[in-house]
Parts: sequence; C-alpha cells; structure tokens
Amino acid sequence: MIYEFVPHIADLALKVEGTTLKELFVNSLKGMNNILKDGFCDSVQRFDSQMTIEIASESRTELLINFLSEVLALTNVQKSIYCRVYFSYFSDKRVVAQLFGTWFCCFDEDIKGITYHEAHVRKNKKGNLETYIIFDL
Amino acid sequence: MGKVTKEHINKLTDYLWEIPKTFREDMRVPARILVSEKNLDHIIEDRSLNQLVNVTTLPGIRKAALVMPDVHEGYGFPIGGVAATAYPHGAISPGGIGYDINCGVRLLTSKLNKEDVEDHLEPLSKELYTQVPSGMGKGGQIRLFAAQMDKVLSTGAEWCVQQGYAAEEELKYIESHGKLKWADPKCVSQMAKNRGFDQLGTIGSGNHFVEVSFVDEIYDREAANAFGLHKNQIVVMVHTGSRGLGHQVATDHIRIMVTAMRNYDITLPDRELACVPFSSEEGKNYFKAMCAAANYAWCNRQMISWEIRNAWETVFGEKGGQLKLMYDIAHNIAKIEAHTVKAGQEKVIVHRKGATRSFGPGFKELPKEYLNIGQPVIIPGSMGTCSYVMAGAAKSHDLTFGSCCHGAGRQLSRRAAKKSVNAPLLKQQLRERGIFIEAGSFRGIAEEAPIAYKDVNRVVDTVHSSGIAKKVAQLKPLAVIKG
Repeated sequence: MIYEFVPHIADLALKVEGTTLKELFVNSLKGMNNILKDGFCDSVQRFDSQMTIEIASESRTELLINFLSEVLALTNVQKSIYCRVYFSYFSDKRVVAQLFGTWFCCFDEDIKGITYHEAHVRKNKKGNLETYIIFDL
Repeated sequence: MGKVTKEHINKLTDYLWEIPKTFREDMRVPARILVSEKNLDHIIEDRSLNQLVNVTTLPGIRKAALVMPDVHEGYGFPIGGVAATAYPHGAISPGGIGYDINCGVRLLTSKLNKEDVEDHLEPLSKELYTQVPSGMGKGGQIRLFAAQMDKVLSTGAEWCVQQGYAAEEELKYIESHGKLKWADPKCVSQMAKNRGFDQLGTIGSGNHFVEVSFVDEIYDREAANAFGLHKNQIVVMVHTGSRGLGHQVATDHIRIMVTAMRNYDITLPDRELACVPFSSEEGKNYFKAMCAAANYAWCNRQMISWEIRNAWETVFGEKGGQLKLMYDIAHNIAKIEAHTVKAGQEKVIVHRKGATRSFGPGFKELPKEYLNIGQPVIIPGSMGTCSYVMAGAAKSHDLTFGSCCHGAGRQLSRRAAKKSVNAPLLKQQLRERGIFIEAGSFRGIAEEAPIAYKDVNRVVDTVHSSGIAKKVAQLKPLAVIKG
C-alpha cells in the first residue's frame, strides 16, 4: 500500500505508508495530487514549471504537513501539479526540494487545507512509516 | 479517553445538553450541545462531541464550548462549534474559524414571483453559470494589482462601492457592514495574496453555490415584511468565502501557532486547535490577517452579486427589476463581542466555525427596518430540499454567545456520497421536480446530493424551539449553480 482513502465525514483522509521517511513524503504527495486531479501524474510526459522549496519544522510530522501545504500553495498559484520531486537535502526536520510541475486546467477537488489533525508519523507493524493526513475540502 | 456516550451527557433543558467538566481532567469549562433528544442520538455516532470536549481545553475559554444542531465531525474544532475566550489574554485559535475564513451566505431579493421565471429558468441558470466563475482552480473576470489587493483586504465590500460594483446603501445589509477595521494587509503573506489576485468574484467548488429559490412559506409575517420577503417571491442565495487567500492565511498562521504555542506553555489534545494568547504578537497578527481575509470574502460575495445582477439583466431585461441585498452573514469567523458570562457583560473573542451570528432585536449595527426584528440568519439546506431565513433572538445571547446553526450539516462523507449517488440520474430527477442544476462535474453533484446532508427542517426546528432564532421563511430551490 502506498496510500489509501479512509472515511471521514466532512473531509478526505489518507492513510499513507513508506519504507523510509523520504518515501512517505513522496507517497503523500502522490496521494494529494490524485485528490487534486485523479490520474493526472500517470500521463504526464513534460514539465512546465520548476520550483525549489525549503521547509524546516520541529518534528517530522509537522515537516510532512508543512511540505505538502507549501506544494499545495504553489500548485494553486502556478496552476501546476507537481508530479515529480527531488530532494537535494532531506532530514527529519528540514527538507530542500526541487518540484517539477505540469500545467492543468482545473482540479477534481479543491483542497482548502492540509490539517495536523490525527497526523502522526510512526512505525507500523510491518516496520514501515505511516500516517493519516486529513485534507479540508 | 473514550468516546463520549449518552451516559456522559446531562439534560439541562429540552434543547440543551451538557458534558460536565468532570468528564475529563483537562476540561476548563463544560461542553454544551444545542439539540433535541432525537438528534442527540445521531450526533453521538461520530466523534464531534469528543472534538467539542477538546475545545473546552482552550486557555481562557469562558462559560462553555458549544455545538449547534447541525454539528458534525471536523478536524480540531467540530463543524458547528462556538467557543468564546477571554479578551484580550484568552486564546485565539485559527482552527476555531476554519480554513475558509468568512465562508458565509447572502440573500438577494427580487421583485419577480415564481410564475414570472418558470419559463426562464434554463437560460437563467446557464447565464449565471457563465457569468459567475465556479469550479476548481478557476480564476475570475478581474485580476487585482498589488495595491488594489491591499485596498480589498483593508476595506472589504467598501472597495466594490468605490469601484462602482455596488451601491453604498447596500453596505448596511452586510454583517459588520462588510469590513473588519482591524484588518492589516501586511499580516497577509505574499503567497496568500498571490492566491487571491484572480479569485475575486468566484464561488469555487465543494459546497459553495449560487441558488435561485422561491419563498415557499412565510412563518412570521412581520419579520418577512421587514426583510422584504413575500410568498412565491424569487430570491438568489450565494454561499462562498475567502477562496485560496483565506485558505492560505489559515495555513500560514496555524503553522506559526503550532510552533509558537510552545513558548506560551500551551499544550492541547489536538495540534489542529493550535492557539496563542490573543494579546500576543502571533495572536494579534493572526487576527489582523483573519480580518483581512474576512474583508476579501465580503468583497468576493459583493462581486458575485454584481455578476448575478448582470446575468439577471441579460435574461430578464428591465422587467426583472433590481436585485436587493437582504443580508450577508459569515459562518466561519472570530469576532470581539460583549456577552454575559457570569454576573455581567464581558468582552470575549467568539470563535464561530460553521455557526452563524444570531443577534436579537435592538442590535445597533442592523439597518433600521430590522432593528425591532433581529438580525437575519440565512440557513442553506441542500440542492434538493429547502433553505430558511430566520431572525436572531435575544435568547441566543444567554445560551450560545449570540450564535446559531449554519446549515443542515453533513451526514455522509464526500466519498460515501459519490459511491451511493448516480449523479446524472439525480440531475434528471431534480429536473423533473423543476430544479435546474448547472455544475462543473457530476462528481460535484454527487458529493453535494441531498442524501449527504441531515434534515435541515429538524435542525431549524431545534433552533426555533430553543429560542435562539425564529423561523421567518422557507425557500425552495429552482436553479443551482456550482463548481
């Protein structure tokens, strides 16, 4: 499982998994992009925009939520879905990421915010890292 | 700590229930639920009451944390939640306002009756869909420059008057006259402004809409007359907020507060409740940014009204007359207000997340024709049911910090609604009932299907019976435009 949708009455929740923290970030981004426009990244063959972001946070959970929030903001401003990410620096508390995006016309879902509610990066029984992420739609 | 069950809840009156402070050690005040006994059983099913208990732990919270009868589970605060904290040193929590700052509703009244528009509904709904940009990621008809953006953030709906999009007379029919004076554009990030440059005059997606309805029933003739409503009259409702700009303001400041609250020794059961003292630098900055986003939202709904008027004129010409603003009200906002807490009046910071202000008669901000009636409260239902106009009542000041419900309240998740609703069929069924739907996608129709919502009649009856607002009129939909 990379990620799965879990029921949430008002919003949309993802349960995301990764063998490493970096993979968890990548999978979370894939999940978010598929909420924004289902399957869009599967067919992307060119990139129209490139952005570099740097995020620092007190914990890896906050880092993940803040990373996704930053990408979401850029997605809205640049009208690009960032299907590919390359981390030039990655630690538990700081990331520097190059984002490669492709222009799109409109979303399937408009994500208002990515919440800290119930987000907690932890090891699961399989030894992988996982967390819930609740998106405000 | 386990889930709240009925054994943990005490009945105070027929419509007011309480989870006492003893339920959990970290509660600072009790949690109160405004609901009928029948609906209480339903509310207990999700985790909204546990979220309400979490709200009672906010520093400086006064009297009680409350939920309205349309409550449902959210994140951090439940949707339908009200919390008042002591001014100026109590907490301010962006999660208690929500990501869509000043999401709200306005109602425009027309001189036309149902029979006047019956043959024009299809062109009207198409024209509204054309004139009012909706849908995900779509920009509006105008693009602001940086200096214009700062004006919009500082002056709200006034900006529309200055630019000729609205009449000055209209401002008094908007909550806070469409402008919160504490707004400071400098507290709004460049990213937030970038998200807002091209979104003025757009409704967005999700549960936001423009709806043409008719007045199906009048419950209070005096109030209806004062509000300019009569049976069979055509009205237009708008539901939207501060769009991406407001979402970014919330994101920016929740992020700041998650870190900053450690400096104030604040620990909370949920990070999404992140808060700081209102009087702190971070607290003041958020409030100024929130006020700016609220002003953007009022300007947005005002611009949408201009677009609706253009569509109206295109379809009906001169015989359509003018669309008059009945009222515009926020349901995701924090306001500094005076309320009776213990012995006397106290200034408090009232957080309303999915709750509407419902001040009773005598509130000086109201236009003179509403002064003896109470503040109009607009309660949208769903696209296939009905909506209500109510009037705020004095009892809301005693019970709910001058607040009441904001809608029907969701009962199905968006994914569940999509799975169980055949959207093309629903659109056809609604059409057969005389309701036109113009939407960007069938997905949007399915997510907002009537089955996804609680019974708005029950919610409104509870509010009416509890005495915090009274029913004035029921509206039935004829055309719904959404993203």
